[in-house]
Amino acid sequence: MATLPITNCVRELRQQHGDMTQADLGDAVGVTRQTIAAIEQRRYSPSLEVAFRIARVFNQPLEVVFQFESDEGTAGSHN
Amino acid sequence: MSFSEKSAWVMFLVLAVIGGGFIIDVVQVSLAIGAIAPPMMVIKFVVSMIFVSIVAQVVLAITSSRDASRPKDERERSIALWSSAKAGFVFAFGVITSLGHFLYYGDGNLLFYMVLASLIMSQLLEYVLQIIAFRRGI
Repeated sequence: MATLPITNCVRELRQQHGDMTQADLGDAVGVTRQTIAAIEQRRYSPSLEVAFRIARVFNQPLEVVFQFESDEGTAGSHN
Repeated sequence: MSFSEKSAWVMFLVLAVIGGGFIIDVVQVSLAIGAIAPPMMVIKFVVSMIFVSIVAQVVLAITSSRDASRPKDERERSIALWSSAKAGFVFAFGVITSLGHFLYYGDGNLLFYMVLASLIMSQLLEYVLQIIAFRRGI
């Protein structure tokens, strides 16, 4: 199955935050460890609410944590 | 493996084994009496399914007590809805086909078993789709 168009740097941010585990992040945002793994592997695009919660855990703006990859393979906005 | 995925595996195996055994029983009885087996045979299947499902889910909950008490997250709910919608089409197709068959042949016992088989097949498909979605994403 093709990867989803929303990229993220959740794994890198976890490593920068004291090697936080997927389970710890999942507990912090209210999802399972498996869902965090699926997000990192681009097998699942989280809801806006969970995306904001993840960004808040890392104290980062949403667009730093998640980016949209367009059909041409470039990340960015429509403007 | 998440609790929901384990649960899907368990229910798939339980239904495949008990449902498969039931279908084999019905075919054997039907061949022996030279007609469609009476629908009352379903009672053994239903009681077996309920009992084994409860035991299996209790064992699963005991062995995964931390995950079992947690509500489904958004991905698990999404997978459940997606697989249920797909399985619903299979069930509807089976029921409509069964009704068409009944209109032509008028065999009520066969209608009963065809609808039940549609239900079993759609449930099996739902569990399979859940497992695939948990593994590969939707």
